[in-house]
Amino acid sequence: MAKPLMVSLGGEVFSFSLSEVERADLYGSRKRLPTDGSGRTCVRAALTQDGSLLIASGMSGQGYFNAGGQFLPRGILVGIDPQGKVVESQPSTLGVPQALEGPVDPSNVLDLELLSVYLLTPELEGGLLIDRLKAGEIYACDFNYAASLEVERAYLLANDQGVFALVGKPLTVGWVEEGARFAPPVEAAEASDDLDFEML
Amino acid sequence: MSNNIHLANAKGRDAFVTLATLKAPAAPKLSLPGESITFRRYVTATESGTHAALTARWGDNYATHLVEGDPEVDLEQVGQFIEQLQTIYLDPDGKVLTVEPNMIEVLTHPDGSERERRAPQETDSNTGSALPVRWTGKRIDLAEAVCKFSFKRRMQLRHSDGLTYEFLFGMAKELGESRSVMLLGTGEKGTGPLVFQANGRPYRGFLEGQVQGASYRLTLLLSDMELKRPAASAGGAA
Repeated sequence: MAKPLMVSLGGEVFSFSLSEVERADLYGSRKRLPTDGSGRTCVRAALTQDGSLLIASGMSGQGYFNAGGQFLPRGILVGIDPQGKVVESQPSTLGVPQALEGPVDPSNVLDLELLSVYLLTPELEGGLLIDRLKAGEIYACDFNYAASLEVERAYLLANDQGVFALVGKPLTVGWVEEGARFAPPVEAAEASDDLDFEML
Repeated sequence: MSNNIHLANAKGRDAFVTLATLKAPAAPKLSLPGESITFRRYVTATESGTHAALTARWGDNYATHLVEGDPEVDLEQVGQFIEQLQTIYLDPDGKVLTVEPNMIEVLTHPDGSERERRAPQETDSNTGSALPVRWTGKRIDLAEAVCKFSFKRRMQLRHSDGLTYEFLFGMAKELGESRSVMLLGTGEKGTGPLVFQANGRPYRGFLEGQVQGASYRLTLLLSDMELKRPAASAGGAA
């Protein structure tokens, strides 16, 4: 069982057990299955381009390799950010109290590339935080389900169904100015004599 | 996803405008400093090395054979990089289908049990079609929307000329002033979900906007899920 999500507000620590909620948990799912002429379910596999090798489930693996084609064990790899700098692995935040920021404006929640939704069950009923969330306040904190190369963001909010944590990566939305053009008009042909029919 | 949307405003005036998917900055990647590495797929076993093949040859207790002779490793093939592949289908007997399989659609309940089997239903995209995506007039308070829906994607609408600037700026201003989002809909009645590509996932779409001087931010929020407690974990709200 995962460690609890622990958050602190006003010197008080609150603990929640968490379970991920996906669309299929609420509405069921829809998937397409291949069947043969007798209606039996088939499985997807692959053939190499020359047809010499059949790759079915469990017959392939994935890994990191250097330019010379040598396999690189995951343990020797480090995190490299887009600027080429080495970044440290960030530990899981579960089980470690995270300071809550807020209440934040509801529009802040939209500035998130949403990755996961968790239903939070408080370990103790009631309390300051639950009261504030039920009143419509929203709080934010750092979140990492497992150790990874970057820390994600969680927004805690509540509705009549319960308390939820929306987890994702912050994103920025720029302002669009009047003079900006995103689909520049095509330059008009100078004269019909210049039309190039050879390139057609 | 489509990079254009055909959108109508509150007055029913419509225009094609640019859509850009909003993404968080790229995450760090696993690598080695100063080296270029690649993530590749490779062969780990061949048909003769699978559990089924080994069981058929030596019975359930084939471990000794693995230790003594490595029969599961085909030295010619294992370790080879897999580059381009062709998709095929295997029937339950493991035989390659020589004709295209029939596709069926299986619908399940939230508990995973099967609800229905049917012929696949094909859906067309409807965000760039002749009929514009409609401004339904159903306004939802921003704070309520944030606590009610899980917004999986966010896309930014941008103008391509002076006319579409006025069009989008007007919508952003109205939504910003009312601190609300506007439900969008598709189809003749304007009640359908938004589908961006053929057989793509349908989404409920909401417009959200703000203005700052002559600049604006108008975004399309896409949701395929409400913030609800699954029936399986029903136990009273906190």
